[in-house]
Amino acid sequence: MTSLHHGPGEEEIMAYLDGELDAPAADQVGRHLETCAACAGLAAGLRETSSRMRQWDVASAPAFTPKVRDIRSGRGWWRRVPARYAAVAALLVGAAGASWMWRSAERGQESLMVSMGGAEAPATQAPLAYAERLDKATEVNARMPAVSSRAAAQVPEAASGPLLVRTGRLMLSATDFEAARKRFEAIVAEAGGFMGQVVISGGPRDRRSLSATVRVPSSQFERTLAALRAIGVVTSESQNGEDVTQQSVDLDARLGNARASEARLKTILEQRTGRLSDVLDVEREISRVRGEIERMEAERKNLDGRIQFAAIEVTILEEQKASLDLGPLPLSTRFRNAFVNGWTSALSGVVEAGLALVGVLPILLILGMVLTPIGLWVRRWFHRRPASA
Amino acid sequence: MLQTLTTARASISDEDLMVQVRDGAPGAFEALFERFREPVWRFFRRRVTDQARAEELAQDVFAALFEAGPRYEPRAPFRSYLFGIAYNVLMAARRKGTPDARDPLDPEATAGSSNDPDAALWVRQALSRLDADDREILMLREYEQLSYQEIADLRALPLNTVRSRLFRARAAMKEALLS
Repeated sequence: MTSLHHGPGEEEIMAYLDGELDAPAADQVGRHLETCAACAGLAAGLRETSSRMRQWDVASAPAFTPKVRDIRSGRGWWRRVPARYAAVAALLVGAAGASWMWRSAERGQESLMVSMGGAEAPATQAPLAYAERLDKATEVNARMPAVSSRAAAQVPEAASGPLLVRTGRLMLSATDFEAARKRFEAIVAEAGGFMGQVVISGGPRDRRSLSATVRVPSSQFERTLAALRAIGVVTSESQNGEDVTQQSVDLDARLGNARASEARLKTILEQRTGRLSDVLDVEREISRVRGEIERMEAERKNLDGRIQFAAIEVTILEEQKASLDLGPLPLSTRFRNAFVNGWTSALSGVVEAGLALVGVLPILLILGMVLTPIGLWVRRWFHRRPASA
Repeated sequence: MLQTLTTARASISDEDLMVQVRDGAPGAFEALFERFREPVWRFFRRRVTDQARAEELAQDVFAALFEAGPRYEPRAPFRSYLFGIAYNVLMAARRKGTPDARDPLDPEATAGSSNDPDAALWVRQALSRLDADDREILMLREYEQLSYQEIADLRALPLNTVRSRLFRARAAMKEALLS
């Protein structure tokens, strides 16, 4: 706002609009505003600001009551209570006090039983004063409709049961690998499932194996496992059920909030005009929220898929085949085999001998180092001994 | 008879009504409560994030008013007296660091307090850019409709200071609303 140096000041104009000026000053400012466009513009701007601020209106007060049990204002109210009413009130208070003391004694007895190893006493709280209990009842009653509506709005729909992601692992051994494989594929098809990753290894002369991950409807999980067990001999099995109920509820809540945010931002974008930078900020925020929504929707879809379809890892191993029967060999082959075998044996013997020698060599060296000086000394001693006469 | 009494009470000034509360007139406090229940509620609802907490603080104000009744002397306008109590209750709650009593102009506060969430959002965002003291003076003027003198009494400020800060706050508010 620009500074005005003629007539009333800016603050005076503001005070005029707020009704804060005395009559003569207000009259003077009012007449000035009729003739000065600049001051009138200032006044219009102030009025517009106030008008915009009043757009922030809050909802009406809920039906709360003051925290005052007996709303009899001022002192000395008890003096106006007739004596007979006071006597009845005193009797009631006395009866209530006696009842409280009796219940306290009971609770004390229960505590004593607990300390002596008796039945566990229920949790108790210090009893409230009569006035406090009535205050609380008044407050609770006053708030009940608001609390109920708030609670109803916040509590989500009760789930029909826990949401589980079922997984299983099964390892089988089968004598007839081909028949087992066909039976496996038929079981999966009957259950309404589908094959994930399938790996088959081994040739006609080798032990063949099949490893596969299948997805079957969760309702068919147990039945499918039972059918798969019958394919061959079970060598290993495991099952797992992961409770994803909380994860699902949280995801739905976050997704709902994000969608609501997106809707609000779009409304703001449509209804408001402002600087280009603000518009771009809102659009950027909308893009970010949309990205989050799409990511959560993908997560939702993946979670739904895992819940609806159980995963089973199946491994089928072909049982070990009998030893090969090659039939009679030609004579030349037999001579060649015999020569090769003999040569192999001879070489292996030499190698073994060499290895043995190398193995004992360190010991021989040590013995040599120890025994050689002893032997030399003995020999020298025999040479020096005088010949017997 | 009751209607006559009610009609008569409606024409009594706030100060006289509070004097009746002090003197123990039956129904005076209820009349005062009904007269100021909405303004006190709105005072807290614009300054406290949680509705239940705002309700509690409003109840505390009337409880404090009731307890102070015997000592009341009409030295100042009742509105400034009442909102002075409300302001003290609010400051005490904020000093305790209660999250629900924090400024609803915080970016994290929801806009659930208003009938028009978008308008509230714009106004709250603009208010959040103001100096805290200037903002409070502006809100006391615009929403609680306190006079300059009442604001000065409540905030313990000179009258001229209130006027200049109010003008400054309105100028900043206009700028914030236009940006």
